[in-house]
Amino acid sequence: MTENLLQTKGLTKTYPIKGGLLGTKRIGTLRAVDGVDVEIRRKQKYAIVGESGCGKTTFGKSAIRVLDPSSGEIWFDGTEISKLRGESLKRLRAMCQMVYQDPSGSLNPRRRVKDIIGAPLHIHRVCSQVEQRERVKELLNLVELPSDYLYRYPSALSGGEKQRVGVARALALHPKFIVLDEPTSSLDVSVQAKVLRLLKRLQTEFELTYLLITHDLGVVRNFSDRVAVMYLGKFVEMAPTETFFGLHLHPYSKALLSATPVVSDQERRIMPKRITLTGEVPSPSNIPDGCGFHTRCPEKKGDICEKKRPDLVEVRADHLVRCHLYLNKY
Amino acid sequence: MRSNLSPSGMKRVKAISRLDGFYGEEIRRMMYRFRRNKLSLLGLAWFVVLTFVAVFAYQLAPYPEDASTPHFYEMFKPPSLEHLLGTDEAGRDVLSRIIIGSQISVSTGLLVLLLAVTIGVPAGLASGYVGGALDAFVMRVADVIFSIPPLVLALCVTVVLTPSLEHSMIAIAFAHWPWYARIVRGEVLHVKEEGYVEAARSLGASTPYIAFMEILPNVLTPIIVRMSLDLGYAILILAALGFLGLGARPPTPEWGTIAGVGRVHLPSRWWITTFSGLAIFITVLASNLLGDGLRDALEPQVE
Amino acid sequence: MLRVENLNVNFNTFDGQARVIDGVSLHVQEKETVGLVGETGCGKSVVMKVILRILPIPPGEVAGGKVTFEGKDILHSSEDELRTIRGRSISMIPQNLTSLNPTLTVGEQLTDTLVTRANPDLSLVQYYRSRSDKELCRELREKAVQILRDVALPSPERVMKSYPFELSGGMKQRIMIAMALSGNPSLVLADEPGTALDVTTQNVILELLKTKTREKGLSVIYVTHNLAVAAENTQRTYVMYAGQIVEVAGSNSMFSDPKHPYSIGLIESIPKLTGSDPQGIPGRIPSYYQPPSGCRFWPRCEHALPICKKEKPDSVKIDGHIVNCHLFD
Repeated sequence: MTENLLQTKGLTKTYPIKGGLLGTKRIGTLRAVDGVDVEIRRKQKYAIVGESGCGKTTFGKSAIRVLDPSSGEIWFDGTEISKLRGESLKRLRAMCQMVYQDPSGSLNPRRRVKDIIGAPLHIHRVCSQVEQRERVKELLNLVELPSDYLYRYPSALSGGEKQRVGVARALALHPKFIVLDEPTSSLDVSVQAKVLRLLKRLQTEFELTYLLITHDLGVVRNFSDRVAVMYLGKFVEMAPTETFFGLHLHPYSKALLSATPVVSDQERRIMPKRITLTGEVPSPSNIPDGCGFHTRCPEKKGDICEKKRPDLVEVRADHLVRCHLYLNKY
Repeated sequence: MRSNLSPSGMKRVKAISRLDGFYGEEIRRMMYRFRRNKLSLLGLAWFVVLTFVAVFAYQLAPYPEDASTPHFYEMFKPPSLEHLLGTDEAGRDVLSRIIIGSQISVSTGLLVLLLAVTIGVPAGLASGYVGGALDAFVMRVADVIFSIPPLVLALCVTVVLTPSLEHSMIAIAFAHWPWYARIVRGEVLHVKEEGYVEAARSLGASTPYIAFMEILPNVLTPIIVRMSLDLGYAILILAALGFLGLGARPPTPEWGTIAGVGRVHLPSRWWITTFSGLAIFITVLASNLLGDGLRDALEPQVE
Repeated sequence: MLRVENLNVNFNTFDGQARVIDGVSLHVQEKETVGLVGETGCGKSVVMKVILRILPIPPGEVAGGKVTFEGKDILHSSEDELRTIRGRSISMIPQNLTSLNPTLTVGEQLTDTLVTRANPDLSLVQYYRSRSDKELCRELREKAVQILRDVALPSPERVMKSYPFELSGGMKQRIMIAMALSGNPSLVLADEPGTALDVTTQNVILELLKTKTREKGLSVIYVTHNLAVAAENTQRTYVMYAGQIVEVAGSNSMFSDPKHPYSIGLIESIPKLTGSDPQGIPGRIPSYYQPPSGCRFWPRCEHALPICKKEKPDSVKIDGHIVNCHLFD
């Protein structure tokens, strides 16, 4: 049994930008995910943090084949899955599941909770109708929802409850790996706390591995074991969560952390001084040459940042950075 | 009294609905809107009456045997107490024939609609969801059918298939299915971008599963509205074909056939065509009112 | 400068009467920045709309209370009087970045705003006539460019010619701030400022807002569900729950030492960068059609006393906080 449950090598997802008279000529490429290598260990809670447009959601979806990657390798539990089709792809789906960002959009408003949660069981023909009902009740129980919610429609549920239904649906087939795509972004903070606690409990109970996609550093700190910071389709820093909040190396990580508004003085003390980034955010359809961050980087070294794309370098144990500031020293 | 301008907290509050049906509390609001529209209630009332009459036709008709039995000695009697709507060219009571004819009109109208829907909805689903060449093909066929006025098309098809009630039904369904296909396709194109469709795909659902289990329930509303409008239209075209002698053949008491046969006796024996024509007219009007009301109730526009 | 006293707002809908705002009182002094925080559905947006009198009156209904702005009774002012206030003395920075008309260029929208503000009773004919007045147009355009420069928008001439969809979220937010500030208001209502933006952009925008507030000596109300934004940008914060104000205090003190059980639970729920294990608050927000009696938080409060159900608590001053809770009676 391999140590890494999910591993990607050079995972890339691009979208052609069409233009021209008939809208058929290819005038550019949108590089949503630009060659990402990642190793996610079993039972790990791996977080990818970044701002909108950085490609984290696209990465999460490509890693479990909800989207088809343009190139690269994906290894899940020892098997290469980037080109799977048909039955084997369907079997993969049972092992890798996803919880979506928008609870209202991801639940069919015209189906009852019991059908929404039971859908995966139905699709994979796992058990009989009777067994299905029992299993759905079990799942509702697991996500701390009362059984009379079976017959409700999503419109009768609050945001937090809808998200729990989404989690229950993701658990139906006993998956090993769950991608959590901004699972609490649309929830109020008091509800968010409850949902995150639930997810943590489920992880221990079922030995799950999570890939958490978020823009909220507070959630990263309190939920994940390891964090990767993503910018314009690339990972720019990866570290264990504990270390990262004490030592952030990449200028973007520093800016991100410093810009996060916080509530308590203790937090303010550990944060870097506030950095206000200047310049407009580049679009993934027009990624700057060299290091993509150089247009806004306050610690830009010089011409090299504009010309050469830095590689990832291990600066400390398990702590990698993609930045010219660290390339020559290590 | 519209509540879509209330704050977000209100939305959550309303979500805890009391009537939890397929449309949840939307049904209550829909019924409320529908009730406000008096004309549609009239339309609904007519159809309720019509259905009742159609079911109990043979019990309600004063002269049930007159569906076919001629009584030549009673020919062309004008409306009187004995024969409220008069008698026709074979001495048959016009009222009874119209009542019995309602059975035919209503049932065939419904059947035609069902046939059109059974072809059109899956076609629209496939077209919208699968897209590509299939979509292009279906829409081109639909375009061809759209380009010919439905009555003319139904006429041609009926003539080609030899005129009869059954063939006219097929012809009308043939002329009608593209409307449903197009409506469904439009809705599907919108719905298929929704999160729950992507979620279903990521669960490993097959295309037919997604089309029928996830998408279809969300496209039903416009179909229902269209069907209620089309019912009258279907009956009308059936009657038109009957009128022209291409649909139900005499002595079948289909309304259009009655009107068609009675046409030659106008204007002196006006009651045959007039009353059968009136039945058609009221039914189509009722269908339009009902359909309009349903559309306003189910798909409210900004007031 | 702004005083809201005992405001009660109901919504009369198809499903009954929703008693949304229940006895809310707050005030903002000159040059003060105040936060109004609460979770979704607590009614903070409603309060804001009542202050501007833009609440849709059926189904909304102000059932009681007083709103005074610079001595004027807002609730009983005529529509004409209000038009001179809105956009001028009190302006709003909307949350929704789609508040910009997508079919007009930024320049057109700005000049339109300026023209109608200068002359609130402008008729349609006068408006079109003004458009052909070249001298006036040039003046308006220059003023608009100046306004955009004022919010540090790069290349304002280009922005003037752009349509909203061509601009980024940060730029649109700046334009809205520009529009809000262009009338020289004394009070600005910022509705979820920066919420729709990435954190780095949000930072820039909030800094801009702070600078402008200082420069012009404005009073600002930050209406937000993002407690951290309130903590960092306001001097005093009101915490709201289910249509009631539960606590108000100086922002530093509020977030380091909250008193009301709801405030405590809320602030505790925020995942801290120093590491914590947020628990959240059990239960869900109540229905406004049948709100809990007395203090609306009692069903979810672990310290609830029998009196909490019966009577709405009075305000108690403690440690510089004003708390509405029976625990402090």
